[in-house]
Amino acid sequence: MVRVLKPVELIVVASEKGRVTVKYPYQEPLVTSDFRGAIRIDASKCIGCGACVKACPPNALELLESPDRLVIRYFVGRCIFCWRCVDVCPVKAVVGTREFELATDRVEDLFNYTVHRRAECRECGSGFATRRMVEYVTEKSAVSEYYANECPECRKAKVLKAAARRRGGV
Amino acid sequence: MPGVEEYVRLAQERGGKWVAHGDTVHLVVDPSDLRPIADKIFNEYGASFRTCVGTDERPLNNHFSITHLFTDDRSGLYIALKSYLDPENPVAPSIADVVPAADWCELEAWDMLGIRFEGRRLERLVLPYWWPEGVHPLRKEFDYKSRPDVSLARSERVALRKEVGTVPLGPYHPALHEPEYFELYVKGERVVDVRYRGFHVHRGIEKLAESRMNYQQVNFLAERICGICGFEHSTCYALAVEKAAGVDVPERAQFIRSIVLEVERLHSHLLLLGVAFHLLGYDAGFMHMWRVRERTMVLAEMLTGSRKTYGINLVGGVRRDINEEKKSKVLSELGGLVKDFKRVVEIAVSAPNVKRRLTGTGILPKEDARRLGVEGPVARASGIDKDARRDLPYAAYKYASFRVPVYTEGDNMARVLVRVEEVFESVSIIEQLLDKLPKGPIMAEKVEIPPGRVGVQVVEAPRGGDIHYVLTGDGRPYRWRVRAPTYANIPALKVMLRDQRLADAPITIASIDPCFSCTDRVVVVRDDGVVERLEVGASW
Amino acid sequence: MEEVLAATIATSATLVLPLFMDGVERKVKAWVHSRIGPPVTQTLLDALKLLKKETRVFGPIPYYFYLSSTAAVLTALGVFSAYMYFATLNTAYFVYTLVFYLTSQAALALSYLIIPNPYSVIGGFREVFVSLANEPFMVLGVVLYSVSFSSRPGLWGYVAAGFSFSAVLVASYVSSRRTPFDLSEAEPEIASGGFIELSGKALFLALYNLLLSRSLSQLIPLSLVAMAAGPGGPLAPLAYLASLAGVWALYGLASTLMGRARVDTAFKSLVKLYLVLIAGAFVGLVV
Repeated sequence: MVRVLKPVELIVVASEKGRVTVKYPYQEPLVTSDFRGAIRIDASKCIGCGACVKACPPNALELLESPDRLVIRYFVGRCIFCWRCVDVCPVKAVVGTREFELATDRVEDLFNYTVHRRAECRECGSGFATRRMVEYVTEKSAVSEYYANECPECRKAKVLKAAARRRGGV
Repeated sequence: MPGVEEYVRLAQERGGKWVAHGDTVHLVVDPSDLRPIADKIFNEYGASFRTCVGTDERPLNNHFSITHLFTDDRSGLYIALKSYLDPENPVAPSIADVVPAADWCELEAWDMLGIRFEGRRLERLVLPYWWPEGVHPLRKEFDYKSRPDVSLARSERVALRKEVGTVPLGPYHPALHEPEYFELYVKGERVVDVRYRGFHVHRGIEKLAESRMNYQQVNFLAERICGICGFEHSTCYALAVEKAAGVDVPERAQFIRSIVLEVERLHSHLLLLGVAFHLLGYDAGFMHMWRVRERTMVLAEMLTGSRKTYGINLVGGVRRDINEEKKSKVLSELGGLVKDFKRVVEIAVSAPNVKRRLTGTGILPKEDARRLGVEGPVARASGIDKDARRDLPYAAYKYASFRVPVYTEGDNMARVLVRVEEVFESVSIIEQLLDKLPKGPIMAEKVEIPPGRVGVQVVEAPRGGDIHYVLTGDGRPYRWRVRAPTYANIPALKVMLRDQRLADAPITIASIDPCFSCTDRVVVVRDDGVVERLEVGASW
Repeated sequence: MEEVLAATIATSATLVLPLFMDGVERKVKAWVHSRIGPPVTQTLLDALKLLKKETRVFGPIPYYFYLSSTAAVLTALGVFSAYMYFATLNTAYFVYTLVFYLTSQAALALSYLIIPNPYSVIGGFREVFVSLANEPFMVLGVVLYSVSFSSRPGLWGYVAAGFSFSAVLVASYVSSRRTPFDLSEAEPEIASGGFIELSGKALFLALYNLLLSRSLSQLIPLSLVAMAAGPGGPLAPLAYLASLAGVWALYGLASTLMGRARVDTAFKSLVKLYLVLIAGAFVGLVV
């Protein structure tokens, strides 16, 4: 007999547990403090090295390059919130947030641009890397200052020239 | 019990080559020897057939290859039976008649690589019916971005059997929200035959990984193979690469992997139990099961940072540590959770009609289960005692003691009860592992992956064994083959559904806990039984 | 004048009440599920929305469907006006109620069978099958109850009345089409059974029909009780409606505790149960 009435026990469970539905969004969001949400790039810290772009699995971070500018574009629509970029950023410019309410009716809200000016080569004047990157490298090692202001092409040319000279060339 | 020597002898006898490396025995034989050797391994030695892998190795050695992957669950061995095939006209003998479990993977190798199997019917399985003949996307010359020029002949015939009534289930699954199409042929309320049409949503994940991603990025892609048991896939991938490259992964990372794997099993089993009750019309059981499940989701978020697709696996270790505070939180939460679960599940299976409709329906006999190579709870409910966590120990499972529930009835009730018991075992495994959690780093210091190495790994997902095969390449996997357990379980549905009541078809289908992948494609069924596919929002 | 007013109120309440009571049932279900659930007015709002939506023409004879659906609405009206007319509950009233109720049920099941869709046909056959097991015993139960009540006083009369009343109670629950007997709607897979081809106003009619016939089937055991209680005062119709609401909520609660039956098991177990109950009633009458 008791076994037949077992299903009725569910009413007891229900009255003990009460209502578990949360009146979101009128109440606190459900996420815990460990939640990984969208990322934010601190433009004042970012040096434009592109480490985050390399690590990003879904290509949510992209590098848009032009002769005088380098732009890191974050498209939240592709983001999988893995925070690999947070891990790999050498200057801690990428920070993770708990934001997850990212829906919008304006598509441009889904994009975030971090714009960098190119460094100018001391020799040929063409743009390379970013100014911030050069500063960063210089700060890390003062010796590199001399080389850091030259674009990879000019540096290559110089090295070749020096090597040739050492071999007794012109 | 056959050991390494027996397997090696198989190749030696026939003049093949062999390498035994770790727990894997690689046998390379002539194509003509594939069938007798596979027959012996599967039918005489009783090994499980997991999948086969076709590989385009022409850029490496000017050959195609086919590798049949077996696991010997008693001696804990992986057996990779490989043959090189002609580069111009790759032909291999079919083993599907002696190893019925190989049916689908051979068809897939035909679709994706154009390897022709002799002695069986060849038909489209994975590729859509309008895909041009002779274009095989996993061949290396096929660029992952290229789209074949197709003229869309847009209809596919359904309702093939005219002499009986047809009840289409699908193309969407209202309870599981995934695209699949079962055509049930019925006489009255009795199902006489079943036709399955799947792979509507093949995403080309293997090709993507082999073409665009690097080793660490593939972890995150692997996690997205499945929305429910993604972490098993990423772990399986990471373990396979680590095995191939011989990476020394810290113990602590392996413990964390095992703990998170079990948390995932908890939420997956609770999800399925809820869905099963829903399909039996017992929505109260469904709601309360998912109420309990929510607690496991919060646990997962606390341990990994995300409710699903945890994203904490990397080749070489994990990204999130478990500190003392989290440890005690998990332990206290698990105690309440298990009590809550026990109470709800006992009430639910005692509900009238739930018990009655689970018992004796959707029976899968043991012999069919073995022949078709079913996995996980489906196998264990049919009396096959196999569980990769115990048989092929990986991550930190060798440090936990647990029971593998096995039932012999093979009906829907047995499949439900296996999962109920596994929930209790999982809780106990998490508690044991947290207790023994060793100190140390969570990431290997050095991860170097030389090209040309092979790693095969099985991970016991909630639905059964996942298998990943990785042939390492330059900066990314050269070949990555994934087989999810549902792939092995769907063919068994034909046996389970036949001669059943139509009303029990949905719960029987759900009882294998199927996991069809999702994307956006619409199928319109017209009155004359012609199916029309519309591409919605597709970019090509 | 007062009678007319009371009759008007009672009749319009009969037509509107089911829409609210369904809302209440959903709240009750939500409570057992540990949810908040939709507001009580949700069913009414759904109905209004359906009325505004496009109606797709289905099958060769939509008229039949509309006819049978409207028949059920008229039945509900008829039953209540009969109550007003007869002023008190007597045998004539029961005959009237039952005949109307059974015709509307049969018409509804038949309309499922006529809609040319396999799901609908499956649902229709299931409906017919359960009705075959259920409806005869409902009639038998009502008859035995009336007989035992009018012609057999004393303890054995109560026994007979008790058994036959239980049979009617079960039958009214079964024909209210709640779990485990909501077979025509079938599994979630076999989408909505009889309703599958319906949309807009037609779907509204079908759903409204379901609610009205639910209301009617719940009235039957209630009126048996009312008959036992004897003639009531001028407020009797309203009390009648109030207790209908109570039965509705109770049935709703009961339905949350059960899973869905399968048509073969449902048929078998129903027949077995009824045979026991009817046998009990006969024993009470004959001994």
